[in-house]
Amino acid sequence: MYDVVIVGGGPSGLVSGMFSAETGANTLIVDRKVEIGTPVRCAEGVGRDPLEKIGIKPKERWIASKIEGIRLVSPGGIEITAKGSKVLKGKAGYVLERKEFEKYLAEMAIRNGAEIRLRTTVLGAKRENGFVNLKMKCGGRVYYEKARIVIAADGIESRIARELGLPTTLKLKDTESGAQYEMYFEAEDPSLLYFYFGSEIAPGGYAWIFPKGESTANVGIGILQVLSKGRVLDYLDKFLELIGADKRKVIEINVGGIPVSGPIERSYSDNLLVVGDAARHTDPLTGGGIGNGMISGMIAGKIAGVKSQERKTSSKDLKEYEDKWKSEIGKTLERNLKIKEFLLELKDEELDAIAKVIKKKGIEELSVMGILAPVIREHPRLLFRIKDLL
Amino acid sequence: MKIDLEECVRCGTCSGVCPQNAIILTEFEVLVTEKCNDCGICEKVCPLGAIEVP
Repeated sequence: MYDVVIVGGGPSGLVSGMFSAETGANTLIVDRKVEIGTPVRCAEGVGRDPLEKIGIKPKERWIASKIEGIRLVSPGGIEITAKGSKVLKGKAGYVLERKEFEKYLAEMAIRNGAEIRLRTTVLGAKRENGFVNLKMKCGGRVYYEKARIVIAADGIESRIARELGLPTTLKLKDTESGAQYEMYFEAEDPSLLYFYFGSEIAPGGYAWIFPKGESTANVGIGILQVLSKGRVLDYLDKFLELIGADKRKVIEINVGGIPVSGPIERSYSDNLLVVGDAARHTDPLTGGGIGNGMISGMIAGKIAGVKSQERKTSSKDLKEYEDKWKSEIGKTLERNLKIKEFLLELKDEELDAIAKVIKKKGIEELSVMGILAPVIREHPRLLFRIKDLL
Repeated sequence: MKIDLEECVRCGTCSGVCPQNAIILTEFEVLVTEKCNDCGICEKVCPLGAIEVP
């Protein structure tokens, strides 16, 4: 019997494990993959805030590049660049070497006493007399393991929460299909993150360039398949043409889904907490999942560690988890979901009009509000629909 | 539903949208349980077009 079993060894699950084991709880992290950190399924960007919140100092080993600004490119090609300390205001971010980063998180979890089991899929989960019985499969062997509390950190799939009765099924309109090449690419300015918008370039999403140093970059795209006229990889190849990138210089291909539904209705029940992408804590506007996942993982790990040892594992005992993550990231998630829904309704010409205003007014700060606030102040009518949301 | 395992990279997006929670991924396999009713949602979301529903 484990106090806490975490299903999924991505950033959210590993941070859950770090904090659960730190409380002295007997903690196990299982993952279906053969290696922590691969395959990468994202653009590897993360802000400095979440790292500070979980108490991790940046290490050279897993920082691919420091970000000092952004460039937004509208459907009509209007470029808005914001860079430097004036807009950063201490909010710098990083492009991670995520394979290294996750291994580092795993080391921290292990140092705190957590166990890790790779190549292990949880086939099913059932509640029995105050604990959860997990049916595991490793290679050809099927066996069972018991947990007082399960933390579901199984990412986009989010199957474990559903096995235990919490609905997490994504709608098609809330599921971005993503594809990315890590490739040899010399970005004009490697300290910027690049975002490209438009219904031709990336229907229902955006395309990105996240430089990882001088000559390598993550070049990727997220689209809503329901709005698109083809496969995501075809859109990505078209984007490569647009930015003058050479497909023969690709060194890694990543494919995956990004939940943009906003958080699930309920993220806890008897013997269960749901974190990260599995709880749909992914930022619905940016698609970024690492930061929020680590924050909800930290909160869940601490609570699961303490409560499992106190044998207080009922739904009522675990509600604290939902209250706490809501006070940390709930408001931003709610606001960004509304902004995303608003932006989805806009035509390319309307996005260009907004881009013109932003370009004229300038970006005050590298945040959603720092970008949109001046537009709303100066042209309340242009954005009257979202003014109420902010 | 049929999954072309030569195209599939086991990203798990199909599992996330499956209303029946019928798709289980392991490192090397995609297990489809008897709950699958061929609704076709997974086919629409697969980034690689690796799923076919008759």
